[in-house]
Amino acid sequence: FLFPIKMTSPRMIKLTSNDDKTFEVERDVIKQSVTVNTLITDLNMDDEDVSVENQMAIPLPNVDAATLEMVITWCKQHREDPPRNEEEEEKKEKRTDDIPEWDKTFLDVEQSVLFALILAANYMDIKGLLDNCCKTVANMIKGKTPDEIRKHFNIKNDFTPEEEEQIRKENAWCED
Amino acid sequence: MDRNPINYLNNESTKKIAFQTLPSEIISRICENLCGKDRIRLGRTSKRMNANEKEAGRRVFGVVNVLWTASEGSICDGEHLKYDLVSGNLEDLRVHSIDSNIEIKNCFRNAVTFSLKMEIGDSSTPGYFLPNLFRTIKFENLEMKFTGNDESSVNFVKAMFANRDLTHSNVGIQWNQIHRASLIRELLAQIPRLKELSVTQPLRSPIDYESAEMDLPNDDATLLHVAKHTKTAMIWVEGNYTAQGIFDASEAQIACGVDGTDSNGLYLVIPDSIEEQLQVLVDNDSKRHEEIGNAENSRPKKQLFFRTEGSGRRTAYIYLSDTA
Repeated sequence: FLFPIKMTSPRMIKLTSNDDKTFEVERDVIKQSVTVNTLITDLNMDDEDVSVENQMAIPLPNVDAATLEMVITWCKQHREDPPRNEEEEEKKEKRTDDIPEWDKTFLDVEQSVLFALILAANYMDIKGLLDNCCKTVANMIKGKTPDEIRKHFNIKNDFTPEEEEQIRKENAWCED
Repeated sequence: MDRNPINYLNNESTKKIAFQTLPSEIISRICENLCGKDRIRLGRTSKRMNANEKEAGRRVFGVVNVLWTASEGSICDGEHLKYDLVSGNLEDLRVHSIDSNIEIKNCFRNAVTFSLKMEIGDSSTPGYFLPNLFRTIKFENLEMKFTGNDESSVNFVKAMFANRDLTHSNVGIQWNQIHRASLIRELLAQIPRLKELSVTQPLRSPIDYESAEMDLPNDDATLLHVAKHTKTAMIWVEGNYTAQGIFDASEAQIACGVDGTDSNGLYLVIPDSIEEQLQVLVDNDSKRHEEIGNAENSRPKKQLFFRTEGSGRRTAYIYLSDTA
């Protein structure tokens, strides 16, 4: 017997960036954002009777369109990821060599783009993205001398020579 | 939507966000993925990063238990840091930081190796390298437990205190055997500013304790120093206290207000003989403050509780009540 299969289109959610661009994204994809998820629930936007055309767009005033597009791309890629158990995550040994290959390529972008993604992930509360972005930045810092770190991130050295020497002495124990 | 993100490299709508403009919570999150050495190096780049690193340093170890095995050579059983100080066996080093960062652990293993190499020449006093190793680490909770009555354990504690900011730290020191009273007294007299201090060693029998000749680890002068330097002090060693000495120490603790907040009190093992006098002093103090009434310099009442411990010893808890 063949039973008719009810083909339902996936539920869509509208998100608006701070530069007024609106994106339609599958509900199932954006569930990874705790912030958006909470808003959807609080605003009763899961009502199936409301079509996407009549649906209110969720404003994301801290995220620009380019960054939001990247966030959505990341969420699509990770839509099948098992839900994170934050308690388990806390217990796990933290390491930075476990960033998935796809994410490594995805996050291989200009620093300002990466930082914009970090801020967006933090604002939208997407732990997986935030973690992998922070690990990527941490990997840029690892093994570098203070001078190399400054150069890499364009950090201005605002220590006086005396302060710098004092800090160097305080931390001499960990230097080879 | 599926464009390669590399295409955004020159997207003008993405503001040029710099590393230094990232909020501190993000910097801290990035630092959680760095070992101590890398954190320190990042902290050396600018004043802001330095402040951030110092703050984060406090989180590296929420609790550090240093256990000292003087003779048995058995492996210490600490909650967060285990190290067999006598054998110096690096295999036994266990570092469990709050964030359980494997690289932090490795960093410290390496640092211990480094310290051992430096000090192995005069290793007659095992454990001296450890305070040096930790000298740039700030502790929220530092617990030191010692087995045996090896006198060098007192020096170890002093070394852990030396040149370290412990103003916001809770420090616990525990010996499982009775130490020479003068050693403990000397240590208590050098306590730096702490948030909370707990000192414990087995108590003498009440008969010994009441003996006039008995040299006890604490006295009025030492207690005064401890009170001035702590918000809360739990001194589970006996003292040749007078009622006035304890009352004065409590006053000093309130006046000094370590950590910028009110005192949480003194917990002490006291001689039975001074219990009544101490109660009278506290009652008189309460009356005095009731008389002041609503005057500007009035303060909550001092409270005093006595308790009999399992050992038969009487203990006193003297503190300023928030609710009075």
